[in-house]
Amino acid sequence: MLIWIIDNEWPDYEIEKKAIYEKFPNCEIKFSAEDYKDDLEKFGYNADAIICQISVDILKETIDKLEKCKVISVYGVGYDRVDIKAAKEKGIYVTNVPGYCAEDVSDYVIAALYRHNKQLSSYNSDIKNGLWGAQAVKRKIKRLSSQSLFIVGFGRIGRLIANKAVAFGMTVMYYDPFVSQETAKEMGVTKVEFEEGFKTADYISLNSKLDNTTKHLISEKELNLMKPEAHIINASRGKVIDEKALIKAVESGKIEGATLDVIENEPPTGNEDVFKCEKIFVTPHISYFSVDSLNELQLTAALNAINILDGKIISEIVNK
Amino acid sequence: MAPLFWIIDEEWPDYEVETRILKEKYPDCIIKFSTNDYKKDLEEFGYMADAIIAQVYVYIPKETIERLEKCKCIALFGGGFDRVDIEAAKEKGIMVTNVQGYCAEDLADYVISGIYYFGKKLDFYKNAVEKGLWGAQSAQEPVRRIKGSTLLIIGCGKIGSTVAKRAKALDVNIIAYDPYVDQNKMDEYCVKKVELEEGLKTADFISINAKYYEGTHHLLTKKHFQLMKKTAYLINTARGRIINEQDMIDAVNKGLIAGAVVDVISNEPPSTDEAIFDCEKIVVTPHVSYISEESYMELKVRATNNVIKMLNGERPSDLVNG
Repeated sequence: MLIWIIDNEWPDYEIEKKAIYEKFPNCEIKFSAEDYKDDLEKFGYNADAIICQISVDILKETIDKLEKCKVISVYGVGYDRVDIKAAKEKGIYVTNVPGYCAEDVSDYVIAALYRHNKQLSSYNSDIKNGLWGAQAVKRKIKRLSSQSLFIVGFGRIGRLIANKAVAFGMTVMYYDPFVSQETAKEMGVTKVEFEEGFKTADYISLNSKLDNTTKHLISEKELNLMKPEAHIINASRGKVIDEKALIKAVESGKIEGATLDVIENEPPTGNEDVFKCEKIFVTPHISYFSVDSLNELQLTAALNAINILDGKIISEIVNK
Repeated sequence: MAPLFWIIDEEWPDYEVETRILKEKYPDCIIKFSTNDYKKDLEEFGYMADAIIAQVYVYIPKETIERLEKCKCIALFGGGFDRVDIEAAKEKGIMVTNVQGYCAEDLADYVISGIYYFGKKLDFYKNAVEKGLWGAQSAQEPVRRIKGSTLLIIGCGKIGSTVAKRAKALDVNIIAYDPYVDQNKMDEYCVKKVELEEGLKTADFISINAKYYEGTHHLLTKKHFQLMKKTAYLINTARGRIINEQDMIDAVNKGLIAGAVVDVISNEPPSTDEAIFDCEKIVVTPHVSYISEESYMELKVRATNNVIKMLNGERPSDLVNG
């Protein structure tokens, strides 16, 4: 048996090796970089399973050459670079790893919320200037439990955020056309209309997928509805917000500010206007990142390949 | 005769809440104000006050109390009453109240905020883009998922248990050291009772929520820092002197622990050249963890209502020298 791993990202493959050898002690594992053409001719055509990074193109030409392959297991959520139809025709299952970083992304949103509310790192110069105690506070601090959070997109990540925010005593609302009111009741959150959420929320977290219907979902119109003290947090995809309109809204005081882990142009040149806006805090697309999320990603991708080689039909298959 | 209320304070920007409540009950009352250095005012008018409302920082020793001719009560804006001679007050028939627990949520939020500060490290990415970094490669140190980590709460009273309630939603293991709270009580907050040393050895985050008294003075010293994980973070919102500050600074500088967020320090207010301000991995905030519009409101309303109750001869539940 041969498992072929195609990847440029990971420093090592100890997790995959351990899982594979445990199930298939005699399995051979071979590795290629993302430009795998030569290796395909040499040995890849003979692979029983492929585990590959989401950035790797696996087109029909490649799939046609695979003689024994039963599964292409992708390291991540997105599988747009794999021709899943061609794979299906050849009886090859394609799998992904949904939700491996849901916990981490939800933590990012909560971290952003607390960073904005408590501003722990903002007091250095005030202390050096001799301010201590209440005099050092120059803004109105609202207790978190008196604040409301509007979650746009109530999938796995949105719900994890909601669970935490509810425990902190926040009023939590969501908008998601695909999620029923019933879900809301169980969790102690309220389903609201799109506009109502923007009008009433103190914090807004964007957690929808990016597709044709969500591109620039947040535009000037929605920003105009928001409270002047409202803060937007985006850990989904940059293009869900009209970035130009956001910058304008923040600079003109229509909304208080934003915390963004994603922007319209990634990777950025560094000269984008969004970096020049003082009230917009940008992190370099790291919300999903933790040692644990990467471990989980590597392990789940390996298990997906193993399970299919073992004859199992698993929920991670995207081309059933 | 209309009562004279004497408010001694340097913290609040205004006294609208207090004035409104007092005037509602006593429309003709006189309200006078002094700063913490009130000696002159004591001679001029303070000695005639019927009631005092004072900030917790204000010293009210026996000498002051002896000068008070009509005072029936002292209501403090806060929990600590160590600067008031409550025994001398009692002997003179002066009731003293404090206000506790009004900021439990705010302190708990601060603690969780501290966990996220180090747990997600958002501030650590500030200059990443300037350096041309984007994506996971910009992470300077390993980021561990918060879920599954262990939080040790030292002092599991009202504030500690409020921290526990929030931490539970983060899916962390919560353990607590508190000799005065038993396992049955801790079960209510899903907290496991531990000995101090055991807790320090296993915790990823340590939150101090204990009272400060002789028994907790320098509760954490060098030998305790040596027990902690190198990856552990310490959060102190209680009182600075519960920790031996120099030992904490040494521990962080030597890498015995990874960092700390403290809202309280040994010497408050500081002279600002204290060593703790030069330690990069210790974030200091100026004793503001309790502050929110909501906590201020509760503090002011409760302190003012305490003074009214005591003037009416009632014994409020906030009485500390009853």
